[in-house]
Amino acid sequence: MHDGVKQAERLVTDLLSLSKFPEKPLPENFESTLHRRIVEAAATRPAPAPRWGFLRPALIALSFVAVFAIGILIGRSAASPAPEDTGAPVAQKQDIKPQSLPQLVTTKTVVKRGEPVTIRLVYDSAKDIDKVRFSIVLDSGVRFRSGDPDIAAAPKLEWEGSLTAGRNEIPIVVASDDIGERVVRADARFNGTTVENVVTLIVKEDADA
Amino acid sequence: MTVDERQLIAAARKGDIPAFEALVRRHHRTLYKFALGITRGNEHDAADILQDALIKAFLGIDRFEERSSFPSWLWRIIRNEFLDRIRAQRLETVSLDEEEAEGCEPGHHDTPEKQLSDEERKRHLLGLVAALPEKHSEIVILVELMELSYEDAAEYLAIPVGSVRSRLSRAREQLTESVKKNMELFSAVGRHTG
Repeated sequence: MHDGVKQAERLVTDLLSLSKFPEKPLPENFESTLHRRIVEAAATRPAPAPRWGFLRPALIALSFVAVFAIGILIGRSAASPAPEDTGAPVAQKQDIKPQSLPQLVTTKTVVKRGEPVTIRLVYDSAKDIDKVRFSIVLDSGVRFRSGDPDIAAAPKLEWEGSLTAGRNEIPIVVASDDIGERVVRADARFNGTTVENVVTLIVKEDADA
Repeated sequence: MTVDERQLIAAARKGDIPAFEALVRRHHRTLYKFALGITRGNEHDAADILQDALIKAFLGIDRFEERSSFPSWLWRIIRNEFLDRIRAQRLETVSLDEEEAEGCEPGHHDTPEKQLSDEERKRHLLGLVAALPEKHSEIVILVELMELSYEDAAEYLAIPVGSVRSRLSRAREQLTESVKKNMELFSAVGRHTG
């Protein structure tokens, strides 16, 4: 019996030595793939019920906290290219898909490859907020439609601005050269809070969205 | 928990993806090693299942309670995801032919039979480790297989270093007992190795 235990102990030691996990560098595209997959997962998950849901209207009304009701208005805008002067697009509202989650809004829409699509980021703020850091990041294959060549060539835009009490809209026009799912991610950061909008473009060769 | 970590967690709970990515980035290398171990070095599968687990963590971060440390919470999610896979033996169907096709060629001094037997032995051992009580399976994985220091293992498990030592000792006893009871798994392979 004792010999059996000794034999098993030796075997365990040998096996553990044999079974050491290998160490290799992470694949080069690990983080970018993970990011894309998280964005996709976030876009499809149902919005969790806020724990303070029954209080939310009152909180907004009383402005105790800067809670946003956010929506993204998306419209395919083949007839509304970006203005040539500033790059600020003029949108044609065709579809409204706001969701209820205060800090993360996700939307999907089908678009045709190469066709401009207008995304309006809508922020309903309970009060004026200064020093809001905005950021818009495009997936590869997606580009800003702008008369400004610098903007048109940029994969990302960042700026500091402010929000006023009430409704604020930030329209952007983008187009995708690639087929498949492409993500446009827009953040607004202020006072330690981040509000994120994730728009998934389902890009097709001949979309009838 | 640092202030920075607390802020990142708060932001991640609100759906801030970059904040979540910043939280988990420093664990990628360690967790990838775990994934490589259970996929027997298959880099594609390892990356895939680690990403699956991290997505689960992102979607479930609302359930993180700050009574435990974030690394230990993350570890539990990853561990459960991976142990489930081991138990379901989803990753244990790679034939010798497939391994050779993936470039896992036998070493200079090993016959194909020896190579197969080592793979079999490792697979059986991993199965026995996964069948241990969780607190013992994870300590074996972290310290013996992933070769983490006691201090790093303690951080992932949110326990004192002394507890790492005592759990490891107990885990090895249990594993020895388990191997002894299943000696035929290893001796059957032993016939191939001579």
